[in-house]
Amino acid sequence: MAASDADERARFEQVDWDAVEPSGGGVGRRSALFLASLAVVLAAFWYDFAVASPDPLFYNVGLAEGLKEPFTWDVRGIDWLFSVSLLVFVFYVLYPMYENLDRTKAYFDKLTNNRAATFALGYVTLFFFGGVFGPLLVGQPSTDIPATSRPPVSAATPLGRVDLFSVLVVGSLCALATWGLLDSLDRGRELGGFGDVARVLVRVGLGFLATFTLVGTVFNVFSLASFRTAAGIAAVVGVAWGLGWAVRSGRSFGVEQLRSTAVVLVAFGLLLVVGIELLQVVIYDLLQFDPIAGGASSTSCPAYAEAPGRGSNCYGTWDYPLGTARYGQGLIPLVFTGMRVSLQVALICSMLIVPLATLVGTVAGYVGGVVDDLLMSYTDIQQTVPAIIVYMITIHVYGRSLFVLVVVFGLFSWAGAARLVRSEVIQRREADFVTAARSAGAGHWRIMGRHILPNVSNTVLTSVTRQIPNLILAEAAIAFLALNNIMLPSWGETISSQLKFIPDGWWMSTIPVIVLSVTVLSFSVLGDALRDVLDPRSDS
Amino acid sequence: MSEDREPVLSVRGLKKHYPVTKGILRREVGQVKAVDGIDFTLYEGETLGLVGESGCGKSTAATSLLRLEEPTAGEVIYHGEVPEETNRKTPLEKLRTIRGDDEAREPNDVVGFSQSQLKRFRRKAQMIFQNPTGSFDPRMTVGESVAEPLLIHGLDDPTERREITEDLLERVGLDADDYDRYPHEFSGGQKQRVALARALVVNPEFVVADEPVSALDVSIQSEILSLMRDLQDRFGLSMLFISHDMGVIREICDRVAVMYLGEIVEVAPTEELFRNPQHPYTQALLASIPTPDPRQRGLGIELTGDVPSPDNPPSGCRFHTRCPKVIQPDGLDLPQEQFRRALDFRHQVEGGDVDADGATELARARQSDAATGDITRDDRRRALRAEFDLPDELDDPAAEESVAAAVDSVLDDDLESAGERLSDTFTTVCEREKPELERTDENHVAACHLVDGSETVETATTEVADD
Repeated sequence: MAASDADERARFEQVDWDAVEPSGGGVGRRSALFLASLAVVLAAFWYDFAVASPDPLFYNVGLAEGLKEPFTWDVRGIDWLFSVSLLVFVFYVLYPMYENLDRTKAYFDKLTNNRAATFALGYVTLFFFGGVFGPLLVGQPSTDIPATSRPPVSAATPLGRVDLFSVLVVGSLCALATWGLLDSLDRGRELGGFGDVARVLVRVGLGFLATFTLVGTVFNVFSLASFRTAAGIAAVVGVAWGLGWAVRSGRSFGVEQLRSTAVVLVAFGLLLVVGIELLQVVIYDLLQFDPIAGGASSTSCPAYAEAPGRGSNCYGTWDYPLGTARYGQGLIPLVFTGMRVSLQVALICSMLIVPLATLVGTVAGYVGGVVDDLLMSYTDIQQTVPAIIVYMITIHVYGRSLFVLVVVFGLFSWAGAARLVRSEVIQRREADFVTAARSAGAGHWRIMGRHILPNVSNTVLTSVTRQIPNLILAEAAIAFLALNNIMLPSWGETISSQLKFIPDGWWMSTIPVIVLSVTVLSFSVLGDALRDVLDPRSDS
Repeated sequence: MSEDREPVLSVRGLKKHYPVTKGILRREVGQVKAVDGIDFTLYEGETLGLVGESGCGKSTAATSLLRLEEPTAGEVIYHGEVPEETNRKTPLEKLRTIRGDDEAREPNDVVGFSQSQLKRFRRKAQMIFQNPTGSFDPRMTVGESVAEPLLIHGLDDPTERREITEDLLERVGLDADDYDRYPHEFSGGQKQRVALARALVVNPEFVVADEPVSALDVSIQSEILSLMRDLQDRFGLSMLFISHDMGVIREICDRVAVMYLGEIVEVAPTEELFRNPQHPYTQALLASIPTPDPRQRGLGIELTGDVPSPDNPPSGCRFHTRCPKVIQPDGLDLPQEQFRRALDFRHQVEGGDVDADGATELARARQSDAATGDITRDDRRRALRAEFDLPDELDDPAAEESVAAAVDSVLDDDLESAGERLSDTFTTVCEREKPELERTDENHVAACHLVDGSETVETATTEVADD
């Protein structure tokens, strides 16, 4: 190796190339970590499957396909695939984002210029954490026949009785409307002043949520302490983080901010009054959606919840803040288990689609010729076979399960992405920088790995993000066709089984419908925004 | 001047033909002869220019001599230290050996190198590209791009790589801090400096520069050229410099090889070539250099006709379809320009590009708006002749008779007999025989039937070239 003088930096002409012995390429740190984690998961899976089969290690940890017991993790089913896909997500999406923090920040800034995309990203983040930790936190939806058909908790207001769920929806819409209104009235000053306050509040909220999720999960799984303790800890952490940020950011909080906040709050309050009045008129009176359980209602409600003059009907109680379904399953656990199912669909299918599409597309595009023809002909043929048909055939052999669903849809949805990747690779293959790398002596693997893949990764990411809503909707559609595992409370299953209780039991299906729509909408918006942000042509 | 130097690389009969395929079975229906047998030698420390029009195969020559594309035929003899064969053959190479279609090659022939040898060879031969934007991976920092060859050739220590790269970036006129910036943050000239750094970083013996300054502003061009010259002097590099710009070639090259349609037509030291160009194509190229002197405007030799397609190059001397000095047969005594026009007419007739209807159109277009009379056969005859700049009466009676008869045949839509008639009269040795590269001076070779002939090639272009 170059013997440079003590005060001299290494220079290229001093390198003694005859003495340079290339050591074979090692595995990177990230891959090593990933492989180690993968080995742990696989070992645990193997242990459960082969050794501890009657009494598995992971029994009683997570969500089983079906309602055998609260907190069961049937590791032989979909959950080990889910763990692997989480590992992949952490090591090949989050870790590279952390590694290239500057680029991530640049993309994040570009993304947040788009208001809709900001909300979408926020929701998708909540969706991810809700899907991973939600079921652990709120438990499984379990039948509780005496609590059947409870409506969401409601309260009497001067404008009439309103329920929690409607207030949440109307409140969010009113918050957006306030923003839009002040924006269109050119009240930038107030928005700016309130923005600082809002930033602090958002941080308090995020800190609370993150801490509560983690601490609550730990407390819940290991039965250490109650939710109240977790909430207390989380509140302290959230407030500390928010205030700490406020101090560190060096922003001044004074009369100006107070005035802005007051203006924003007054505007929001006025809109909220209008919103709730509209809710009363349109939803409750016109559409007969009632915050009091109606014809489908329970026959036995606690004494304190009895609605006067409504016979055996009752108000919602805080036992079940968003109400219960027909067999008394709480809607909050139903929403979060559905979120877990949707997240499993999204992540596992992506884990199958991304490597397949990338591999097929890259090989076809890079090698070209007969290989390209064969691979692309196969892709065309496969595109003519709808995944749902394959699913219908497969469930006749293996029975209905989410496992079959994600595997079939994952294995039959990569064709479009592969075509995109191929065209992108063909474009890149002819680029001068690839020729430059070849003239520097790079081999095919290096060119594919270091030059072509990083340049097509955006295409894959965008395409998959835009595919996810379709997959989630496909799962719901299959539930509607009654081709799913009916013991698994996915959103689609909840919606299709509770739809018949409209309008008396309207909340049972409306709540999952709203969450499902927001999820699908967020992924679509995020996919579109990612396409704009990550398009390399917009770089130059 | 170059005889006493050591050669670095000798190219012998290098050919690169691209198959033209058709249908799903990829049946070969023809070949594009992008490079069709070129010979030259690159000497140590010199800059050899390779000049020619766009599409004449310059870049293909560069990529195939570096084996970035597999040459169809020919040898590229590397005179440096041949990398040893590490005897690890790729499956493809093994297959080739089994099939036995690899002809015996010299051990120092780059075309015969195995993959492992080729990789070692790549360290000694680097390339610079025309498009500064496209030649950098947008997802890599400039430093990573420059350091990549080091990594490829086994310099595993990241600190050392970074030091070498930062030092080199400074030496090509950039900043060490630029290591962490991305290509899109640089201007074209800066990127070309980075490209130079990338080519130099493994300390190569020679560099192939494919139009390295064509995409840059003129002021930036000269900066980059002088930087290249500096670096070349300092590190004793040899360089193959490809360009279509005679001005740039003159500024940087020691010797020049002129290419036309995949063949080299003339090689000479730069001074000699500009002072005394032997090949008519070189003369035309030199005449195309714009001169700052307004009094000398437009004395250049103008080339007529289209550039022939390389999938079906002309027979004999490839330049004969456009050559202003194409040789007349013994029987004819026409002014050179008239002979050229007559040959153009003949090529068009043979190519089926003229017919009676076309002549009518031409005649109608030539008639002034006021004239309303019918178009006579005479009008059409004149229009056709005017289209090919043929005078109404050629100076040689035999030629005139032939052209007149051919024009009549064309007007009767009898292209075949017109073509026969013309090709009987207007023949040329340039079309029948392929000229060999002939030595006219110690270091000067040219491939033209006129070279060594009685005609001395002294033209107006020499004055231009002499300033």
